[in-house]
Amino acid sequence: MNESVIKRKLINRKTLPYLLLLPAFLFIGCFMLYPIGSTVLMSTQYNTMMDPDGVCFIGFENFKKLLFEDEVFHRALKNSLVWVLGNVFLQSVLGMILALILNQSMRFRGLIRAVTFSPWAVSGVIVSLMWSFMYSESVGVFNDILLRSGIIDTRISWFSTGSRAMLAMIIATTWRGIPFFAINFLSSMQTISEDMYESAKVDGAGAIKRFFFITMPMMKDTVVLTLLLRTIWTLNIVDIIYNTTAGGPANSTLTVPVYIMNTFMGSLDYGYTSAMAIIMAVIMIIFAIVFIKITKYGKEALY
Amino acid sequence: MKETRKKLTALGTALLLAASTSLAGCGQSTNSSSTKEAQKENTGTNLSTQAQESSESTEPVTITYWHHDASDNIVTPLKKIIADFEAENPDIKVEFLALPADNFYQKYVTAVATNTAPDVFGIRDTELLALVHQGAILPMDDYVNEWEEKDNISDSVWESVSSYSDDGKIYMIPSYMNACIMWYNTKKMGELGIEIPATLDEFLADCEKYADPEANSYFYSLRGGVGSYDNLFIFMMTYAGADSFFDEQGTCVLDQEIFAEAMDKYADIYKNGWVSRDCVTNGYKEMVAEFGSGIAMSMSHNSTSATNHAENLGEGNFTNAIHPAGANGKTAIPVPSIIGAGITTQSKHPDEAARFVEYLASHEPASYFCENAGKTPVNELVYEDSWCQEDPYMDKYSELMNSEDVVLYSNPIWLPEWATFTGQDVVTDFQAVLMGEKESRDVLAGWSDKLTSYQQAYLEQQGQQ
Amino acid sequence: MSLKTKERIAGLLLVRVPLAIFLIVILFPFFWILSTSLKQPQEIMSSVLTYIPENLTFENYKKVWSSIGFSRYFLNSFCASGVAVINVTIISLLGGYALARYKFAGKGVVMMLLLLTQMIPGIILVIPLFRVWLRLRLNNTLYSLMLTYSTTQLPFCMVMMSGFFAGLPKELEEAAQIDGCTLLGALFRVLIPTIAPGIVATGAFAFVNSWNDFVYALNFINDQKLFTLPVGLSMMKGEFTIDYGALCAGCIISLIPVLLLFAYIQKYLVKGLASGAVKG
Repeated sequence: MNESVIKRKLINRKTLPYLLLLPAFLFIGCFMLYPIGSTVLMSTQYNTMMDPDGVCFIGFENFKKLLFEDEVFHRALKNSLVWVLGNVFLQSVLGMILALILNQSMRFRGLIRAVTFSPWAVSGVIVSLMWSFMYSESVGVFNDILLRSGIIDTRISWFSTGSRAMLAMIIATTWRGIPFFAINFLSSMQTISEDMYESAKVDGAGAIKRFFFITMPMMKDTVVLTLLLRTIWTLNIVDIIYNTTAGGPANSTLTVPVYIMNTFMGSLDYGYTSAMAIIMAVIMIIFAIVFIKITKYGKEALY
Repeated sequence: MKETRKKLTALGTALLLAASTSLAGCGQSTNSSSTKEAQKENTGTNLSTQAQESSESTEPVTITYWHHDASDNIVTPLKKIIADFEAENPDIKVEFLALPADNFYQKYVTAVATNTAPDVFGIRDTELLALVHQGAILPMDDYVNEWEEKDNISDSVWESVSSYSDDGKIYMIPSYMNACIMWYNTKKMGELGIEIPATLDEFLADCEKYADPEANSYFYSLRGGVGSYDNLFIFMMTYAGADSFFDEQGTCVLDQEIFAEAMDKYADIYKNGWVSRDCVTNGYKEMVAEFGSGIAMSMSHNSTSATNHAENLGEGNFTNAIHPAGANGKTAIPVPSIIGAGITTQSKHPDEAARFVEYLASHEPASYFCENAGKTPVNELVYEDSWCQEDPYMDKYSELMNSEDVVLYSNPIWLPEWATFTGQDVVTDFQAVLMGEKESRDVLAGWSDKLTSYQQAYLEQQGQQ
Repeated sequence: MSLKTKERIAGLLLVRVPLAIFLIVILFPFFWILSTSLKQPQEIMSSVLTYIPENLTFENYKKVWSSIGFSRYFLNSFCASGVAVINVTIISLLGGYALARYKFAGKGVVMMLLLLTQMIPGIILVIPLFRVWLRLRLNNTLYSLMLTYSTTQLPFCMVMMSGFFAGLPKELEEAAQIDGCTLLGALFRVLIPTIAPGIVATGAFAFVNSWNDFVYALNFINDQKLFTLPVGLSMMKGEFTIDYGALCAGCIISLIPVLLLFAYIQKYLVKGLASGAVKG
């Protein structure tokens, strides 16, 4: 008798969510708190590893410099915006289309799904090296195909201008990112019970109506979350840009994380690069808050 | 039901435990050895000093060596060299770690910052100053003065090595070097009847004459992307007949008119369409690809790419040559890059580490390494070995070092800002010039200002010491 | 036109043709990688491109497998990613449920904190995180990677799981509880099977993300025997040499187990695992 009373007192409606979240927060608290706190601290310091004795607190100096003086940083912010918008838009739309297709029954569906997943499974090292090889003006296979099929007369130099380079890398990243959207959307579609479609069909709703009035709303939470996560991840992509153009030509494909990488590897200025990371994180948090509010995510809590 | 919940929590915990412990087998053997290693590093002063002092100790000292390239042709010879070293020095064991060439520096930095650095680093000239500033490596002057092979390495090489750091001390013992050289596709040039250009004028004329975009064939592959600074400065220095970035007062000379003219001539190679459009972002691998596929008949690089070219073009179809000379009949190239190994400040066994570093640079090991890894030696005894005498490309490098028509200028790598300058400013600005967005004059004026200020700061600091 | 023909044409245009296009676009780079892995160096670099290798060779595969110790890297990657995924799935199911179903103080902050860990680039976090492992004496062990991946994949998985849970109608739990289950019982017996496709998908992504991590694997491990696959692959690019053939061979080899794994689990990406959950 006593036991169950205690249990009910300990594990009741109020405390249960915190208990359920406890393991997760143990992990993150133990392992992420120090690194993130460290980053915040260093962003307020003059802290470069080439001058280990000179570390000192300088308040918002780094931020002031970044926000008001560092033109390269401003350029990087603009480029990041283009990068994220282009990538996420293409990947989500194409991913949705692919998910709809894969939702149909067909022969070899399992095999086809495994194939669809494969671009995500390739390591970043390979993606950067192989795609830049394929895009090569002289020995690249894309130019070869375009030439042979007569679509172009002269070889395209994909990386000689900022806009072309950006486009080329967005295509490569989209290739890599479509599976993320496709598979997640697909799995979300699987949880929609067939009954809803049946009754809609009976009511005379066509395929498009069914998509917009049943599929999309039921998938809303998954869609919102996948978009949010992928946006954050895309913003942080370094490997493909760093290994092909390294932000060039003339900083036209420089995104914020690549700038962080370049600066850190060059001058080992931990304070300055931490400040950049913090600014980037703040922007993303604001975006996340706005995004979640606008899409009215998760309005239906049970308890 | 209490039952279900109990069961489930039990199941979950059991799963976690089972998973971690069964897979602990994966990390078991190395785990114990690494905690031992960790203990040694963290509390090892007592142990190691004991080992050093007690001559009866039979426990071999283990030193760790990290190398900055993990490709096959580097690692295989190194492993043999290490085995030979251990055989000759039974009181030392070497643990070897080869790191990916693109990212090794990141790992060096992390290790130094967290106090987990190895005993010996493989060091290149480009990272040396940064490592010194991080307090990562020890000056080796005392060891070098006692080294029996010290005189087999020329004074100019030792001078270069000591110039890499800003206190004039020697922080590494060199085992090989990279000398800038031109590579030519002799097969294709033979077919078209082209001679190797001896002067810049001939070179530029060849670029113009043999540019054939339709057939995807050009004379040269211009490196406009990462690492473009050497090619650019070689051209400019040769054209201007200069031998230094700075005058005696420490002011940068790049803002002089002749350099703007030089940069324009070089940029025109791209702007006039005499090279592929890709060149503006070409880094090393793209340049090698263009040369190796026969699209470009020449490229400006250094001694290390010989094996690459042999693979791509086949032996006998290419050759190396000294860069074309300027109007004064001389070619300017930078002092060769020198690469070797050094001892870390965190090492608990600096004496043993020094013995290993010296071994790497000694006649036979260095010879074996250079021969099998395709590197150019700095130890003069190696040049007398038969493989070196027979190698078709090696004679150009000794010619280069000894010729009167070659002027060696120093890249100011003693400036802490040099890495950022060449990595970011030069690449970005030069690309802007290539694309017509900026004028050479303005770009060079900007570079000159920056370099002058860096140099002045450096000289002041030197003066204070 | 009969209804059947109309349906057939619609099926063709709306499903088969786009699918074919997608498959071609997705598969072409793999075809190229496979083709390159079977070529000799001179053919790879030749300016006249060949799509089917003219001088087929398995040298690249031999080189990669024998001299570089790939099998070891495999095992390491598998250990690290596998354990991480198991951890993450369990923890994120619990936490995701809490996030989805409960209104509690600080819920928004919790979400933001989770997302924050994804926003900072790895290179900034590497050194402080390394210090954490050093303090715990876990540096240079696979444990550091297992825990790192658990931590970095946790926010993503929890957020996704909460989305799946949020999409389920409340009726499901209520019905189960009426039948006599406790809340957690309902969770495990009813809800989780219903969202199994989502769990499978998320787990697969968490596995692959950990499998492909490079920054942490490079910096935390000092013993070549403990290197993971991405580090092993990048070792093939030398300072001045890129062995495209070997690199492609390595890529193909490292793809195979991941694809097999996915091909096996993808059958859970189907409807109806919770048959009769609500109807009864």
